[in-house]
Amino acid sequence: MADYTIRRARREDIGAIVHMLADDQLGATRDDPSDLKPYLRAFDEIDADPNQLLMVVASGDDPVGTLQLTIIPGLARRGALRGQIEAVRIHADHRSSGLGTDLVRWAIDESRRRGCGLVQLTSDTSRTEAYRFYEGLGFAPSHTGFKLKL
Amino acid sequence: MEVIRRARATDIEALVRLFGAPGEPLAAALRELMNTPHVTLVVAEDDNGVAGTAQLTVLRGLAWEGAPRGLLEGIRAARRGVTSALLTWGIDEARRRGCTRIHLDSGLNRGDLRDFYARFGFEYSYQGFTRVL
Repeated sequence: MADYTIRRARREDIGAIVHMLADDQLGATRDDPSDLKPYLRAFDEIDADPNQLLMVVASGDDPVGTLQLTIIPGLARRGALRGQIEAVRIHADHRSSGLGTDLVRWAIDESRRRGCGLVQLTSDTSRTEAYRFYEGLGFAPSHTGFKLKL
Repeated sequence: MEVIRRARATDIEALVRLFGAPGEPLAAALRELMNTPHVTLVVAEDDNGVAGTAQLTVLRGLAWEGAPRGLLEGIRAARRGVTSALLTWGIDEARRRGCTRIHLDSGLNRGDLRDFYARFGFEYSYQGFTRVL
């Protein structure tokens, strides 16, 4: 049984994280780990912001899963803070071992700890198995999303 | 014709009216929003005062080569024309801030809203999930 830990991502994890983003039905067409420069720039910005947490679940010290949590203020729902979960990925060799559940549970707990009134996430309409996964973690379908490429 | 400008602390009364929520938690949230660098809260003002509001949050992630993404939400408007002005503002502002895409959350997926958003180029793309804490 491997020893997994959830921790904040470090600069040296970025290559592994981008590999997980690219190894995905949607990410394959838009992410390329061969040049990490743009990703490292984004990481530095995320890392400097106390309201953005890029996390990894590591086996030993190697990232095998990732998730980003962003705390967003807003006026809706009586001005509740929200935790927004994004970019959840688990390495193909470590799927079905409950790591995704552990990561999302971590994000729920962290959001609660930071005083959020709710946690939200979105899933592309093509990812039907993700729907079941999130519903199993207590999420309910609540809104629809629209996208415009700029 | 509406003018879009950044929300100010003195807009609280109008925001309470638009959200139909109690003033105290909303005033605290307004202060928080005005102090969060990646969030821009605006109001649409016409001759009769504030007629709408919207929030643009610029999110940074690693996906899509680390490009920022705009999240347009918290839209409340007295009329459809005001919603249009806020959507146009949100799209322009997201582009100005280097976002490669903009997401628009809606509580509803009614056909007429889909058609309305489609006029601005928005396509139905994802399902939102929420867990109340």
